[in-house]
Amino acid sequence: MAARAVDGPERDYGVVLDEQTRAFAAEVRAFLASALDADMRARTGGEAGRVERGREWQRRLNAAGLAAISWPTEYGGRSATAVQQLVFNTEIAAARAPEPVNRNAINQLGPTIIQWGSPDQRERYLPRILSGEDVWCQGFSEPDAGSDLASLRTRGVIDGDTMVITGQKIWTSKAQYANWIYLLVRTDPDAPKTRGISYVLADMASPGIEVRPIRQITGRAEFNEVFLTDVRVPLTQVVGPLHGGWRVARSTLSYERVGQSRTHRIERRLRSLVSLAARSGTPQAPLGDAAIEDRLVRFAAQVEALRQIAADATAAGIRGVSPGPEASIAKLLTSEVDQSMATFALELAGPAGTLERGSPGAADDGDVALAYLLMRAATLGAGTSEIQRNIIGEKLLGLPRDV
Amino acid sequence: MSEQKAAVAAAGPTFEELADRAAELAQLRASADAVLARAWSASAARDLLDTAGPAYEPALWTTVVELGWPEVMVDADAGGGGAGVRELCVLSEACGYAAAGLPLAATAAAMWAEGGCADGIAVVLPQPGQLAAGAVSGSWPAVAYAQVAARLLVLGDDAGTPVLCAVSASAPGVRRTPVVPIDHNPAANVEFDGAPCTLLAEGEEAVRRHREAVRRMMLGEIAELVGVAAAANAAAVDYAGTRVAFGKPIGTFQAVKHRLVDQRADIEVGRALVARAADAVDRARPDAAAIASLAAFWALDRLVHVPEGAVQVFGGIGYTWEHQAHVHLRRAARLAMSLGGRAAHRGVAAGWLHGLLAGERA
Repeated sequence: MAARAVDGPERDYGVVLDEQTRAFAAEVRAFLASALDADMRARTGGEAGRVERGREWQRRLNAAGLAAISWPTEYGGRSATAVQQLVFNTEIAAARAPEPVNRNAINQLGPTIIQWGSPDQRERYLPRILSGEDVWCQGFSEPDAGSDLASLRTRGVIDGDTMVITGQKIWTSKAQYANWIYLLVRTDPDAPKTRGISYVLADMASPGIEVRPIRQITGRAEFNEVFLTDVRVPLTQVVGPLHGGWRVARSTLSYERVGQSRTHRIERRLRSLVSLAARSGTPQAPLGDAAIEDRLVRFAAQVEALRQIAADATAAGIRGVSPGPEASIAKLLTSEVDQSMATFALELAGPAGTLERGSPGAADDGDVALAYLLMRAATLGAGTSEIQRNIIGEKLLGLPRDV
Repeated sequence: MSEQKAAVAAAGPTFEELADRAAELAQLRASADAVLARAWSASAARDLLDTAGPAYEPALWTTVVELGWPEVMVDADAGGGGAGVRELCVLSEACGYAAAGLPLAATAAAMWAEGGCADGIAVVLPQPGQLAAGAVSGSWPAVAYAQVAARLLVLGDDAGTPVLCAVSASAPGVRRTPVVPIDHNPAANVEFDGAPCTLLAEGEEAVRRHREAVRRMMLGEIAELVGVAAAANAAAVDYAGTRVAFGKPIGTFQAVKHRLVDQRADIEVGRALVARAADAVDRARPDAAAIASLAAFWALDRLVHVPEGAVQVFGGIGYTWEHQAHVHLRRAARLAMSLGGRAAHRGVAAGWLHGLLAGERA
């Protein structure tokens, strides 16, 4: 499948591409054909191996000028149109390229620094995000500030031209590999909740920073706790106004990509689900009995609808129209469908689905079991499904707040 | 449509065209909503249930006929709207939302099959009849709006040759026995006993045109169901914001709030599926039948239950005859049950899914 994505006939993006975008698509395919070699496709080495491949992939993308296509050209991007981004994301997802090590920094931190940062900050940080020389992690969530992020308690006390930070962050991915962290800290404890927060960049080598991995239910340790004790950071590393970091953080969070990549993921999961079902099918019932078909068709309906909603949102985006209410609902549905499909895959695979990687006879080399565990996070991360429903109920439907 | 135009359409639009089209369709919807809001309301629909006859308002039908809605899919050359099933779905959803019980989808699909504009209500009979010497026979139970129809389109088999023909409701050999469906539409059991008919198409073309007309009618009805569900959900949301229990509006309770959000999500999925299926039909894409079946499956699986959930949110008042909640409940149930069964649509969709897999291996 991956080989076809690169060499095959032009992909059906659901829309017709103009000349310039077709040339761009050809460039992306040519890049993937040469850069996505066996090293980059490897799955060995666990988390450390993935991060190392992510660093190398980041280098290769950057060398081809494809590390951050949505950034403005003057900061090393391509000022890519919405359609070019769609093409890029589609090709990358279809080729199953590894995740570049700074993906979050490129999607969220970079645009935030471009919007809010000083000229000095832009010059200092942006090129090193692109090249992967700096690896970034995000320090937003805290043990008592998850869904309710603005109640964060990590303190930043101003001492001359430095800030002294003390507190604890949690669910920080790649903290043990990162050399920089972007943090939200409370710098004015007397101001109302969202008014006393600052957005700060800190060197992970600063004295007083300690990283402790969190082992997840998958057995992997992809997240960490980050403890900060009297960490001194120059005030020149505050992004945007001092105490005005909540607005800066909101723009970071708004850059969190909602649509495309996750739509590709659920499309792919649906296909592997159908393929699992086909293994136990008969000529009369190629996908199994009516109960199985019923589940598959329901998933297919949801996936097709989410594809439509994503395409509509992209079309709205190029006219500068902000995505409609469907977008917030799409986020909730994508998480839930993704999780439900992973759960159903376990049932389809049966006992073989419960075997972990490396066990003889494990369905999809343990991917079914791993996805089952991994997908518990789908309805927890970036706001639990319960919080999402509250937000949709209150912001979109206009129902009264309950807290 | 010329061959060249058809080829371009099948390839798909650019994003710019998609964006322009979205704006056009939104405008069409807004104007349809404005017309219906002036002419009709859920309480008017509720009042019709009190009358002795069927729940049908001829003046409302006249209003939409004057606007050309039933002719929306007829070629512009033939005096029609020159639009596609996507436009029909926008108008149908507006009718659903406004609780306007009208035979719009059926008549529009029939006129599309007839290839021209004609006066009066028409319905397409999904099941075939028998044909002999140019006369058609057969029976069809509980055909929606048959009491007020002027023409009935039927696919017949004439000694091995499929024939699509139109039967005038006033022709000899046509018997219509009124029945009362759950939404009180002017339905009838229809019987033809050697009824004379007008030929529309023969052979493969007859089969194709009938199948395509039924699909257009079905998508129009699913769109109407999306509108009905959206109206039920909106009414329940309003109520949940004002009705107080235990000292708080009931919409503050997450059991109520989350139910309403889940319903809204089901509606958005339904609307997206209708749009996707309608585009696939308008572009004659090979997956059109499968996507249409996904939409029908979703209608049966989820959309029909939205007005049930709304009644639950209304509580006891929603169970009363006086309240409007049951207008949506009744309309949704009737529409959903007209789509063909879950098993049939599931079979079409599952076959398509399996085919995708085979295509990937090839």
